[in-house]
Amino acid sequence: MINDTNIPSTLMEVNHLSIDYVTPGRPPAHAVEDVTLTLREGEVLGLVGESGCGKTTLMLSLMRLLPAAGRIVGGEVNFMGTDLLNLSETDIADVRWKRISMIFQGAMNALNPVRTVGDQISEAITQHIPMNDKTALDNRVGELLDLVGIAPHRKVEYPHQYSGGMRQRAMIAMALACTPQVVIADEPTTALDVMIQAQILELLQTLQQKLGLAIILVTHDLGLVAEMCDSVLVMYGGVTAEYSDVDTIFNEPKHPYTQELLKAFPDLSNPRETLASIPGYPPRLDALPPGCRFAPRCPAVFDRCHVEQPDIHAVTPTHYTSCHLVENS
Amino acid sequence: MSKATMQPEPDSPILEVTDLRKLFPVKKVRLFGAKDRFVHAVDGVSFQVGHGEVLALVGESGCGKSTLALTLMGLEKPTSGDILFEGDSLASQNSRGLKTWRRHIQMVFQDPYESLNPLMTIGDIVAEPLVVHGIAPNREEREARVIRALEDSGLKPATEYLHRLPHELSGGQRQRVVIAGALVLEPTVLLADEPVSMLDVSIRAEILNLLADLRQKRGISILFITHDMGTIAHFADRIAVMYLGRIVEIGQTLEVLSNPQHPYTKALLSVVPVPNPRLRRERIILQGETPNPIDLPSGCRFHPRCPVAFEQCPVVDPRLLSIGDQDEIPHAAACLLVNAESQPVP
Repeated sequence: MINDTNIPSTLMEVNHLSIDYVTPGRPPAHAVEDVTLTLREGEVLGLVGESGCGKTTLMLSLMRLLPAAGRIVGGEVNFMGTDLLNLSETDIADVRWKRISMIFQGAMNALNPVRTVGDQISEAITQHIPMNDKTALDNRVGELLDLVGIAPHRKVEYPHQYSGGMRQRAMIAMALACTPQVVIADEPTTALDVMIQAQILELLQTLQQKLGLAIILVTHDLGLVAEMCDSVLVMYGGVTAEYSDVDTIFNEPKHPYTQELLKAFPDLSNPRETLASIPGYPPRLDALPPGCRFAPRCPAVFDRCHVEQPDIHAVTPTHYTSCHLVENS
Repeated sequence: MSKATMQPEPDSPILEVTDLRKLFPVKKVRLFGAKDRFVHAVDGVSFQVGHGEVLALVGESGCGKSTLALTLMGLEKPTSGDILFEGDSLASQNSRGLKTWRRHIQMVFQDPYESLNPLMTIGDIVAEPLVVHGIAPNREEREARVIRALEDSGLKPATEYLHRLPHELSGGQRQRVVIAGALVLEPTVLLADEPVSMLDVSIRAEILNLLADLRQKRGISILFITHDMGTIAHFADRIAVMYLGRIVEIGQTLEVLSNPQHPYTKALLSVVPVPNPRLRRERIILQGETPNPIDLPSGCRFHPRCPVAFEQCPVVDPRLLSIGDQDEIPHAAACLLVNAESQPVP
């Protein structure tokens, strides 16, 4: 058993968060509904789900960066004692990047091609922390590049002189510019080669340990989750399908979606003849099925699933899932 | 090409690549004293693909796997070496022969979001190859072929898809349309360049299973190009690992996976994430990136990144030599540690 004093303190608590996208003349799309999660200091949380399951929307809401059509319709995001959703624009600006920062999806192409990498990292710093001392700023940029494994003298180079892996490292340096406690990494290795992917993962792991970072890793790659994460939240169609520690999710999954997703993922340590696929497609968020959102694709579906949306049940105090089968058992 | 009349021998390969080279010249930058320089995209590659076989070509960006595919399609002219399709040589084809060549060898591209014309209906997209090749000029016959290709690609009933536009379909469905567009010409070889890397995990398995089915039912040979060992472990018969324009290891899938010989193969395998948190293991992470294929390292091309390189490696270029029992399907690797007797290639 873990000793009570060893449990790191809670950094962030998301309680019953719901987000809609509103388009005039159309019913709202429920992108995220009733999501609850806890993030402790130094924890790596995996957020898993298919395209369009609401994982990016959820992450953007944590930094209050939702697009104009996004509306937070309920819940709270408690970060070290304050509800981020109630902060004024000036106050949230103090949290963004300094406390919570983000490595964006497709980050390799997010750098400005006509400015040097060093310039762009300096800007990330000075946008949030005024620094008049040019030398100190220069040193800080060099330090950040060194931290992510890029020789500091290459700060004068432009993004096109960097390889894909190096650009991703530069983006990580930028996310770390203001020494945040939480880094949200949205598909940080998608579109990179396997070996470069392994290098970036190793870097994130080293940084996590060295700086005591809490990381939210948003991905659809279950392999990454198994290798890196402490806990996992599986999302489907905007809701929590299952939430627990990484060992439980991979070895005792209760939700049929988690179980099917694991079967669909190729496993080199256990090559099977055919991979299981999940027939059908994820639901459209503006045309959700009336009952459980996974019901149309679920292999264990029964009558009740088509009419009633399941609540989140605690299987154990650290294992949550939303499935009628779990409630029945 | 007049292959229709000639019966291939049952065991003869459908595709035979012999010492294939494709170099791209690089523009001279200096006025005086500049030598001609080349990008060695594919640099002496030999392999065979059997009838109904799935061969996976694995390697990182820049290893030459895509150039190899384009050369196999007859879209790039090889610098030297040759490709035989059913015994017929690529080098001897005129432009008409090349067109027939491409009817038999079709390609499935990586990105189903970019490779479909957004203004054309699914029916027209799949029918286009027939029009280009002047096959089935009669409208009913063409439609029948399009419907068959769509249904073979798992889009059933096909009539529901014929008049739809690409944006109405999901990623998985679009990739099925791309596959239907290749199947409509009834090819015998499919070159699949990272066909699932853009798709969600739950849909990847469907497309992989579809390709496995096509091989089973139609006896199509598949050359599957990928950087991800995990994807192909389940259905490739053999794996060829490429590094800087060369094959460094080739053998039966299970043999290569369970008994990798080349240090590069070992490293690639060690970084494939295993979906089991109880199996977190030591990864062999190679530092740096694949070197520039213009200035190739001396000796073994892999030596600057190799974790087990020794004095001979920068000097001797190892040949791809077979290891183990010669009676079985050969397992070969190009590494001095594996083939101590290997001699420098002139």
